[in-house]
Amino acid sequence: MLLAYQDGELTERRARKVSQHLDRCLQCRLELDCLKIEAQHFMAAVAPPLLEAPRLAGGLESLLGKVHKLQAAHREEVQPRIQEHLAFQLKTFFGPRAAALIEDRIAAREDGSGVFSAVEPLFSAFLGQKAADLLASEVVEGLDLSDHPASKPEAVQRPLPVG
Amino acid sequence: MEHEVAALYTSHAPSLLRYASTLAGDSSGGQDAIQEIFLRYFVARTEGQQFDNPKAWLFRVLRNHLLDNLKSSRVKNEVAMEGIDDSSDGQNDPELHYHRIEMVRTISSLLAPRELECVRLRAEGLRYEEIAEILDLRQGTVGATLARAHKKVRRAMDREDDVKDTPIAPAHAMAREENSYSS
Repeated sequence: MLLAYQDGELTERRARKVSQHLDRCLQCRLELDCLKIEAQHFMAAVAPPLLEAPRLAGGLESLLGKVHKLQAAHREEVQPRIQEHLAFQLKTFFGPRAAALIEDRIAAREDGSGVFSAVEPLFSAFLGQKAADLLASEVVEGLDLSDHPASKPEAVQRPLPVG
Repeated sequence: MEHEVAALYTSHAPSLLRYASTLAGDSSGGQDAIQEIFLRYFVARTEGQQFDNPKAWLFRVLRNHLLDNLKSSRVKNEVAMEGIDDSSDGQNDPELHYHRIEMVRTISSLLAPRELECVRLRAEGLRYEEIAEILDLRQGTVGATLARAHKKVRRAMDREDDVKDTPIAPAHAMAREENSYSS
């Protein structure tokens, strides 16, 4: 309870109760002080030092380069992959007939909007918002872009050797 | 969209990279993984996907991606030490650096994998709700797991408190000392 209190994770009502208790209990106040310091050292030990800024800046530059390449190839190369993954998920969750209908709906869109924009209302109506989000996320998670030309190894910013 | 990705990268790449280093034990592999998940984020947004909490999504996708890559590997908790070595900026006191590595080694051996995962994510500043989303747990389970992990480490600290030069003792002694000043 004290750890959650210290982490600011209790509801307002419970936090107020704990706070009131702390006002009159020296033992719990000392315990909380100890907990704070221990947690600080504990977390500092688990989280290693951050990488220095230049290396991260290089990473951003490299990422934006890849984003540009991906943007250029999106419609021809990336979108078909997404549709392929999506078709698999649709067949799994809705069966082949419903999947075919949804795929037709995707193909029929004319405004150039994204695949998820087209299917999201259907997903959330049939599966609920949370499951719909998870399903859409699964499609993207299953998308391995590492073999795409945009992700070629030479474009990757390698860290400087240590020492 | 490009600005959104850049802003997210600037805000979260440092902690994602650190998390990847501890999970995969290799900061260069971590860099590749981060680039990959940010590209997936870009693709998802381009295709109209909405995210309530992009940070939690990035951590979850990164974790799944790294675990997929690690499946064939036998290295698990142990690799965290190499990750720390590799990602160090080299400006730390070598003795402190050694103690920290030893302390992490000890913590890793004390905690169950799930506890260690919760602790690592909490160390990156994620809230219980976000950790629950990433690890597919209930929020209450995250709180209980973190409390259990903390107790385990404290018990180990208490056991080793009388023994100087043990990995955990210096931090514990420091905590006690600071506590005596503050109270």
